[in-house]
Amino acid sequence: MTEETNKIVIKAKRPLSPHLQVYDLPMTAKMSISHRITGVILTGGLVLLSIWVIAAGLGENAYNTMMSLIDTPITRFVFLAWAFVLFYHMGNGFRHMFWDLGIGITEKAAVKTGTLVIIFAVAMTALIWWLTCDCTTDTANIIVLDGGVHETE
Amino acid sequence: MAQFTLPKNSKVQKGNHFPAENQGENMKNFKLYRWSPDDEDNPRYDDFEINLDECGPMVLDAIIHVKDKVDSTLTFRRSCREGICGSCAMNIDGRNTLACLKPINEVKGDVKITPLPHLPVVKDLVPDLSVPYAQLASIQPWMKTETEAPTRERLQSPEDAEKLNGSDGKGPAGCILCFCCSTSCPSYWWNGDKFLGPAILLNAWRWIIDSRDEATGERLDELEDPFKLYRCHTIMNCTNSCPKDLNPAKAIAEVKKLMVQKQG
Repeated sequence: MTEETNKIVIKAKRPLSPHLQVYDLPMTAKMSISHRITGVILTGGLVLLSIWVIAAGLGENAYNTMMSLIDTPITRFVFLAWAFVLFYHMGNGFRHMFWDLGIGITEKAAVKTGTLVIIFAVAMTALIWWLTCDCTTDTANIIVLDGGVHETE
Repeated sequence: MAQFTLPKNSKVQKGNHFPAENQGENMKNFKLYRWSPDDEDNPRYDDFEINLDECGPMVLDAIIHVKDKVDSTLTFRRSCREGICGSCAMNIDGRNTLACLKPINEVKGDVKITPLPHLPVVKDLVPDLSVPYAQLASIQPWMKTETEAPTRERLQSPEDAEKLNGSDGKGPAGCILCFCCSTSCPSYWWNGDKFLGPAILLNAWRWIIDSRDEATGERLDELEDPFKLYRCHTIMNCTNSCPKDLNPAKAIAEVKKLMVQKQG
């Protein structure tokens, strides 16, 4: 099939009609590409998160050094942005799962569930922010260090 | 690897401006993609100013007006002018649709028209559809049977017929093969040589669920391939662009489901 069609398609002189340059991507398409991009960001973020956890595993000193390095307004913002990315990807992942089951795969439903995913991601990010804004380092310290103690015992 | 920009010879340049002969209250500018194989020039956008009081309400009326009254070299496909034949599929105002079904007044500002996206251009608004047609042939879109032919038509219950036609007339049999969907699909843009695209998969589904067809398993086996079916990532541009309001995305999801059932 492909050999046959290749013969037809290769005509060097013919221009390729515009695609991304002109296409007005619908909301579903924008959410689809964002799903990919957020997936890549999550993978990158996971590396940073692992470094943080490893620092905690190396003991109190390493952890404190790590915290002094990453506890800046900018990194807090990055964490928060990453949380949004996480919840967006998660919500959209569920959406894809239902689509694969043949559920909600119409134009109207896709716009509704898409809006829902964005609301979910924003709400969950706000929740995380609210839970961590006053006592970021304290809460995080307790959770991580406590976990570490149990493991070493 | 996907190339997101246009090749050098495909970049669209500024073209000519054709003012309307008779000015009026209802003026509209049409930006039409032009390319001719007769010279070495890149494609261009020509501006045609049209007095809407002098032409019909649909985008197709406007481009026919241009061809009749302004520039007879403008090339495009059209036939039925009522959304049955699928010939006048093109990208209008950023979305693929049929020019005959698209009212001019739905477009704000200039009406920009380009050929169906990511295809080789034959001339102006006429793209080369050889690949999609070859892909259609590859799914063998005809009834395949093992059993002996009856002395009359092969019968089908109204329920089975409804699977094809849809209770609202929007089942897979409603496809007119205009390829608005396939050429709206980014996956098809990047992998159009291997991925069958929504139009062809919708038609594959149409034969898979036909109660009279006896090659269902064979048809599914044929689609079991990393590219042919599974390059669909549910972007849903297909369903969004279908001028007949069909749902190729859903059809593809149903094919994927059958694949799982078949393996299970």
